[in-house]
Amino acid sequence: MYDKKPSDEHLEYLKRIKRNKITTLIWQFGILCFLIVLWQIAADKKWINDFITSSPLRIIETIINLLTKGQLFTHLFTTLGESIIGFILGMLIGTVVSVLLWWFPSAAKVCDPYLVVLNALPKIALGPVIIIWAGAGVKSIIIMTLAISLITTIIGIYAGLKSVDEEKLMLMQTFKASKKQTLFKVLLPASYVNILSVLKINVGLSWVGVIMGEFLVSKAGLGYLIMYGSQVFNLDLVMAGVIILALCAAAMYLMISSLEKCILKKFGE
Amino acid sequence: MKPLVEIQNISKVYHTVNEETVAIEGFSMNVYKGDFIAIVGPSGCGKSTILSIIAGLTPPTGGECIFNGNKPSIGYMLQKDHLLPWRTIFKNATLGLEIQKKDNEENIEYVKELLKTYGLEEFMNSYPYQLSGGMRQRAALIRTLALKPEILLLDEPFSALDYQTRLAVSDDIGKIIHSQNKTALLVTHDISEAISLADKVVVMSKRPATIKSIYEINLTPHTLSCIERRKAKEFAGYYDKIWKDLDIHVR
Repeated sequence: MYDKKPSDEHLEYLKRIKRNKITTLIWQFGILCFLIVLWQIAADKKWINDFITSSPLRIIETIINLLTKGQLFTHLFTTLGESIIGFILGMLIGTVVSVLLWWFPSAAKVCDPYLVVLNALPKIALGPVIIIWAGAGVKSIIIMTLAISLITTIIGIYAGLKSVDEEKLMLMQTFKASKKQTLFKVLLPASYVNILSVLKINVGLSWVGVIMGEFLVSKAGLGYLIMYGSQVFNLDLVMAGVIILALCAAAMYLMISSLEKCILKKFGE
Repeated sequence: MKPLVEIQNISKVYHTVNEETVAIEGFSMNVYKGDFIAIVGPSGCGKSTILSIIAGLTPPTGGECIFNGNKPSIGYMLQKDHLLPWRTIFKNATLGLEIQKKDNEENIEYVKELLKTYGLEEFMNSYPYQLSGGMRQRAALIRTLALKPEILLLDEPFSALDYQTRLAVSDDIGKIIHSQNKTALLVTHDISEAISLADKVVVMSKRPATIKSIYEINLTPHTLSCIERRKAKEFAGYYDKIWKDLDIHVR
């Protein structure tokens, strides 16, 4: 792209950007380290009651312990599996329902108040009902996850379909395109930006759903670990569970957001 | 010669909860093969509605469009290019063919030929964002021409472009349409654009829109270049008449 050598000024500019990035990184990492060290010292010096706060070293010990006993992966994969299933099901069902709403505008009008109320309802309130209906098992956890993510998905994707430029639809009309062609050739691809952002929100929501579900009913999983830990007052276990959870959720979010970047870059947005 | 389209006494009424608006009243016009007609009028007078009635996208409230012979195929070009960002220029240009399942070898070859003729060959596999506004509008025209329409409807196709690009692109597209010997109807609010492109200018009144006057444009020297046409000595005269007909006052 560059035919000639970049000027000194430009090099200086690039250097400045790089330096800025590094400084930010140092600060971000520094604050994390500082907090961890402070936590450890405070626990060692008995400034805080480490029975209820735990401490970084003891959390690491607990994680290693879980690892060596092979329990960690059981719990991790249980939760991971549930949230991936919940996430994928939520996206699929949500997309299909929003397409149906778009296809039948009068049905969408009729459904509107139901969606509004369901969206406003704190879904956790459905927990006991779900357990009674679906039984104490993985099924309940998946349903809980769907309950939390589905309505948001439907509303998000439907809004995306509706926001596609009217003139693009008119263009399709001038080509005498069928409704199906309009949907697959224009509407769905045109709302990819929207679908991607719904995906990102959904990653978070499916984790919320799974942990919520595991709090209510479970025999394994990170949510179970946290719940169990708190019931036996083993705060090391609780904290370890929370930290592993945070890492997993962040990893999944990063995966989706790099996918998003990749796609957006391809189409120049 | 029989006209290609006879537009007879068309009217259109729009309804909202609060009121009904008469957008067009008693609009009649004949379109002959090879005509390039520009329709100018104050904004919101229902110019675009006329195009969508001819295209069959909106039914008229009264009157009718009579097509002599077989119903001619109609190509529509809109204000923005509406190229789909996830398709390459080539895939965008063949969108209409693909939808109508006419993407056979002959038609694909025709699109390639058009892209080549109008300087987009090397951008065939580029995505729309990599092209300038003018090139994108040209690609949109090729997408329309790909279906070999007999009548082209142009709904302010240049108004999303900046002024310089607009002059260049209208010159370009004007030449393309003339060289393809198409029948075209152009809706615009730009008087000089209308005079420089069309051989007939229809001036509309305010709402409810009716035809106020029709001008046959005869410019010397005879040329197809819009930029050259703007230099003709008759240009200012037409401009003045149309401007007076439009009768626009800022209140």
